[in-house]
Amino acid sequence: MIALLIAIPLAFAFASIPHERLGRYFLPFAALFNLVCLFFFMQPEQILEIGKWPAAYGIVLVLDSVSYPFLIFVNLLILLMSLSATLENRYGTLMLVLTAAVNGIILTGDFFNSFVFLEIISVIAYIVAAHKDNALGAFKYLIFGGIGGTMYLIGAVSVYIKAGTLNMAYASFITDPLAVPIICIFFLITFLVELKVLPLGLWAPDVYSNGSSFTPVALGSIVTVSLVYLFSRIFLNIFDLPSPELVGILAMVSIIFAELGALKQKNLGRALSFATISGISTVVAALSIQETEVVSAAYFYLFNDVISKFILFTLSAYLGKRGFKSNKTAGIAFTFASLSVIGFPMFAGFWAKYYLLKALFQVDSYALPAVILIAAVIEAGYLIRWNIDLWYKDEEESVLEHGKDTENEEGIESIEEIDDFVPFGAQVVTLILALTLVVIGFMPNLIHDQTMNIANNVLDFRPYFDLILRGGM
Amino acid sequence: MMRRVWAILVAGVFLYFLIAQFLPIIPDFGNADMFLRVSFDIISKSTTSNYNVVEFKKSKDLEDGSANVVTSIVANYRAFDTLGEVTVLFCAAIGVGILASVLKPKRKIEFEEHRVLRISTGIIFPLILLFGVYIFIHGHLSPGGGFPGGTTIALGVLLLMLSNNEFKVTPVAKHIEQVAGAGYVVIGLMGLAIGGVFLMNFLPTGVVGNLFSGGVVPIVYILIGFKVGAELSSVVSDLREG
Amino acid sequence: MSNIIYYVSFILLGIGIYGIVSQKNLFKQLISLSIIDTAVNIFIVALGYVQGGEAPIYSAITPVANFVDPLPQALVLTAIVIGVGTLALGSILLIHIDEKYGSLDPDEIRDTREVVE
Repeated sequence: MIALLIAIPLAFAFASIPHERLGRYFLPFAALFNLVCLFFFMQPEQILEIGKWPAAYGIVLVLDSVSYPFLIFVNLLILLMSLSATLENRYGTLMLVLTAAVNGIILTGDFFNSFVFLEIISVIAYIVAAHKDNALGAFKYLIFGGIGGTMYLIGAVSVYIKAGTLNMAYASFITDPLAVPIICIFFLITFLVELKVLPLGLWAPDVYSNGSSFTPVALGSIVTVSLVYLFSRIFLNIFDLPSPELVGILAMVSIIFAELGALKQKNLGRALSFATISGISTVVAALSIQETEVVSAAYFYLFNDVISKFILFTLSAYLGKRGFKSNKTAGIAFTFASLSVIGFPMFAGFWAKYYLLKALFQVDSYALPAVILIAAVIEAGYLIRWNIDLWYKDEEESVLEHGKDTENEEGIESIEEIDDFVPFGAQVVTLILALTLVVIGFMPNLIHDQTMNIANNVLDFRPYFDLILRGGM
Repeated sequence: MMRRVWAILVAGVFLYFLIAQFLPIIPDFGNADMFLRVSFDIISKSTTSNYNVVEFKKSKDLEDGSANVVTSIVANYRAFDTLGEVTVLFCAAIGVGILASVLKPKRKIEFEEHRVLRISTGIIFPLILLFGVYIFIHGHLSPGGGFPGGTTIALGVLLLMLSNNEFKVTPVAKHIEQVAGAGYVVIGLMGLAIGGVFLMNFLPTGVVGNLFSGGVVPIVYILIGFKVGAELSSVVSDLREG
Repeated sequence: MSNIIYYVSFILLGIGIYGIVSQKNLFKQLISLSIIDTAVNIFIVALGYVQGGEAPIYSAITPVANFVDPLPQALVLTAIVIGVGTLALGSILLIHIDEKYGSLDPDEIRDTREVVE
């Protein structure tokens, strides 16, 4: 039954080849099917041994209380993206395969299988990054990502020769004490590249700023959530993080440089991409501390960051150089999202920063809170400046300027031709997400209980291994 | 100049890490201890039963029937990985198609016409096709399988393109690719319907070493062979002209 | 010195990394990435060697098992195909870059971009 989460979107993808537009229409149905299956037909704590081969010999798919919330979140994001983005050519087919691959990388319990799904995600990411004539940025990403994938492969094979099997649960019983840190360094390089920690994350500004309505959302929200899950699974559950202090320092340096980089950007897309680097580096820095409260706060921060960036990137792609005067709903959503990123009270971001700082003070860590506060101040600086610029932008000149380079290909002759440059689907989705941020701002316990549950389960290895040893149902 | 210094530094640090730290933890070349590894049971085809010695042309109705042990891993024990691999090629082919179709000037790489090449291609091309088909039909009996077989077929198509400038890969290739890919998922779903688990082997496995043995494995490899051949042909054709 | 195959693959890895960092031409970076893929594949297959073992196929020559490790060979099968997919994508991206900027050298590309913007 669990395998249907991967097989059905894949079947949809193969079925959408005959006609170019089919993929775009199949995508919401595939995401909806996954969500219905997850909510009504599957409960956590079950595994599936593919082909009925026992766990160490074959591949297992694991649905436990850590992967279940991540699956729901990711499929929800895909459903929202399918409504808000304009997918042209055959990008709909690629998004269907991305759905299958992202579900696969969260469900799988086998190292080489996760490598294969990681490579599927990477190949789709290179193609999606080249949207809107951005071949140079996509090529840079290809080189970085290719090295990352190769390191992951070396790590997976090293697990095989030390543990005798490729299964994740059995891998934690490697007896050689020298082997585990070295294997983890290989995995760490991959995650530093993919999770955009500078200096290995230098591909991100070029890729995220191509002005496409779905590239930053697909890569920055959907793929990032699944890779944070994989990071937590490998480094918090199965192995231990090698030299967590070094990872923490790298992440903190990355936060500072990303915020400083965002400050002097003139292009909204590039500024937002630096903000994304800083946000995910904060999550990585928090995860490297490996205490329950901190990890739970990191997941809350991830939730807030992913949703706000979804809104910001979608709107910035559609607006181009326009302002908010003629599109008030877009402006409200944009402002709400920026305030949530900064951490204003009444929004989810405030609680994200509050829980993170409180948990960090409890474990006597003072460098990271200082860095987060400095970063918040810089963020406030440039995000508020962008908001003021966009709200007070002169309507006529921005419209005619926008007519030259837009998401829609037609030119604009006069002002009377404009109605909504932001498509209706995108408006609805961004408004819903912005309202979610406000609701969580008033009732943070809805999400905080979930993240505490995840954090408690992910740091404890016993339940995971017992689940796999017990066998499938 | 600075770039070279940087490069030597990075490569040097990495080599030091590999040779000084990584090499000591892996066993010496040739001393792999098979008893500690999963492949010991996979070779003797005894993952769900007790250890039994497998013999060529004598053992019958085992859990997996192919004589080529690598094929049994790729198409039976870890068939899910192969599904992922097929998907990677699929995405790469679609990506090349998308990116080649947005190039603005209609470009085409032309080759010089050569009579000897053209005539000999007419003789060799059917043989190449036949050889490719032989490789993937016998995937469970001899080295090879779907991927090398499909690549050979694509090389034959490349030869045809080199010798004849007017040759085009028709949209039939895209249809073959779609049917073969969907067929693989359908086999997995049939395993789900018949056996209860996705990608289960539901055909009888026969005697190790016969052509009709191995259950679903030859069918899977035939589908993969067609798919890879169609995909690589369309990739080469897209690279040649927009 | 029986580990010489491991040293060969590590040196190839080092050459590949040196190539990516030091070369400016984009096509040379792509070839260096391909060298890295090949080096890792050699390394993985070498990990499975058992002294005196034969190729893992039941046949008239080896009717009873005396094989090298087949699992790394299966992993390499997948890894090679993934490397080919990446190489194909890299090539089409390079064709795009060449069409747009007229060359594959980052210095000339930067000059062309500054003229355009």
